[in-house]
Amino acid sequence: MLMGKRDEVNGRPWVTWLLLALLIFLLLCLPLFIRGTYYRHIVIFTLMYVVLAQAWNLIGGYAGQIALGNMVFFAIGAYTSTILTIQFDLSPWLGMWVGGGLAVLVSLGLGLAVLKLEGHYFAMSTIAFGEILRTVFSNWRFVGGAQGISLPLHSPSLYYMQWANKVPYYYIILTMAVLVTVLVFLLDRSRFGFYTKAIKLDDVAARNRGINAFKLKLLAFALNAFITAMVGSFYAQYILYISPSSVLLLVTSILLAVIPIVGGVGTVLGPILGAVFIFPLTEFLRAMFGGLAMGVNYIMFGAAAIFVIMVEPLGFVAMLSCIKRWFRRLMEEKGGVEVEGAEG
Amino acid sequence: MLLQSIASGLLVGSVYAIIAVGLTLIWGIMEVVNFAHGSYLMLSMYICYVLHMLMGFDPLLSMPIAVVILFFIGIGTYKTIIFRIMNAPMLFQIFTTFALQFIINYTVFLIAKPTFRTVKITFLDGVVKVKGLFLDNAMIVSALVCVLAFLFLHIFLQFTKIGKGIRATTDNPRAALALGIDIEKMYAYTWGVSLALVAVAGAILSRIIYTHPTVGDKFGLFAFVAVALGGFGSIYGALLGGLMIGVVTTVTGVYAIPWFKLPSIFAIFILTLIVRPRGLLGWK
Repeated sequence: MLMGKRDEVNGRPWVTWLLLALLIFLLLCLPLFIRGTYYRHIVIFTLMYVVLAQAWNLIGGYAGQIALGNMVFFAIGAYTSTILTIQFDLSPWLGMWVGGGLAVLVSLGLGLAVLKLEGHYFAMSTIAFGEILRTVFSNWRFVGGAQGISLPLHSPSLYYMQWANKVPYYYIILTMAVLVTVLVFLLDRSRFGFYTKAIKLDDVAARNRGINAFKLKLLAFALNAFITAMVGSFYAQYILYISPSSVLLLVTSILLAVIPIVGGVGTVLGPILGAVFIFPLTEFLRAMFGGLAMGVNYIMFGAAAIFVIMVEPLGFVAMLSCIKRWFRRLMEEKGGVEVEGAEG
Repeated sequence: MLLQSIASGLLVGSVYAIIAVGLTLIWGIMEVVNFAHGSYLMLSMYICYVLHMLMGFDPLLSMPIAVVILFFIGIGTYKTIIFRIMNAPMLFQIFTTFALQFIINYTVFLIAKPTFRTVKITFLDGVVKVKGLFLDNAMIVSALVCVLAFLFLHIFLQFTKIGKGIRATTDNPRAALALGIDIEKMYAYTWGVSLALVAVAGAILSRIIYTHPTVGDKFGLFAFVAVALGGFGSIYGALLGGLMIGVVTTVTGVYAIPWFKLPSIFAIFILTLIVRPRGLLGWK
């Protein structure tokens, strides 16, 4: 309700909807414009990072719990659907949900144990959990050990989620990105969003008002785990090879948090802007620097994070609203329409 | 056999301990977790490696040089970056130090390439037999150096003016400020001292293990575990935690499956946090 009011105050809600519809239409047509396999791959990975960053944003941005072991859930999703496909010939479409469910169970177990810990302690225990899992998976024969698992190739089929070209993958991950973004948008405007913001503003006051912070955090953690695991399954099907050193790395877990931080933490748009900025840039740098690209990329992540933290804590979202304000002022001067600017 | 592994574990643990003490100093005084701690360890190892390559120095000889360099790097890190995030939300504090880790690690990666490098020194090779236990000469010297460094730290904190200032700031920054202590300066010195301790560990480790750009990360994580075991902010706790990790890794390495080392340490870490969130020796 509050939000509806604000939209009215901001004026022209139809402009926003029109732009949104246009954006979705463009995204749907994107494979028509982008024909190169390599560029399609970049788009798919960017969307994948959008979803992963949105998931982290739920626990890290909204619930304010710095989870640094998200690759655990990613790996659970990837390994579960893969193993189910290989051992029981189960379709990844179903395996995805099994992986997601398993990740939720793990996240609830871990969450019940460590979500009560204060900030740093929670962050460090998620790191520790991730490292435990990485070592176990690297030494566990059943899941392929350190060498990992390659998925058997099938002729293009819907059942095995395997196709010869990248377009179907694009639509799958696009659907996920849109759904997750809508979910986060709705959560942002729901009681979840208000409560988590209240908790972040004043923990004690929120608790005195009867907000159960622990339950909210647990919910955010489980949702985060579920979404991340789904993307994990998708990744396994798309790349067709998983190993502890590709899906269980601590640096990747950290990167999943850097993306929303650079974009604007705790906002709906932040993770999208962050991913759209960061991932294509890493690919560009990879093309430029070749073998040294990994180093250049990580230095860039670090520099971007420090820059955002020092200069503009809301990252790109803040810059965007800055541009919006400037644009609006320009419009006002031209059209003479008076709009009271209540910024969000 | 058990005694043997415990003895070797204590020797290794002394190195973990000295790393952990540096970490806990910073945590104690400003509640900032320095996730770049391991990167500074790696820097120290590279300094020793370079000095060995250029002048043939034994890392034990380069140690004072590494200590001085890292002391100033520590002060510089505080003055350029850390002091800006003192009042920032925890999320940003954590990611600033992670960003530092990325930048330091991968700058070294670009310069030195991911080659595994080693310092070849024969001085102090061999083992010595003490009461039926075989102890590695180099490890004994390392442990002695760590003990010495720890004694220095103790004397520094207990008796010098700056040391007293650091302790006062750790206890209560506002009261320290009211007493005319320049707490900004104390924070800077703490960073300097913390990194100087890590430099000592780096010099020792560069004789024992391979030097490469991400070598420090594992040690950084181990240091967190040591700090958690000992109680956050407690110097003696971190010492004890480091020794415990040394013993646990060696004993599980000998009696259980070798790869159990790492999971067992992290499992102990999580369990400790759940059962005693302030650490085994924590008191707050």
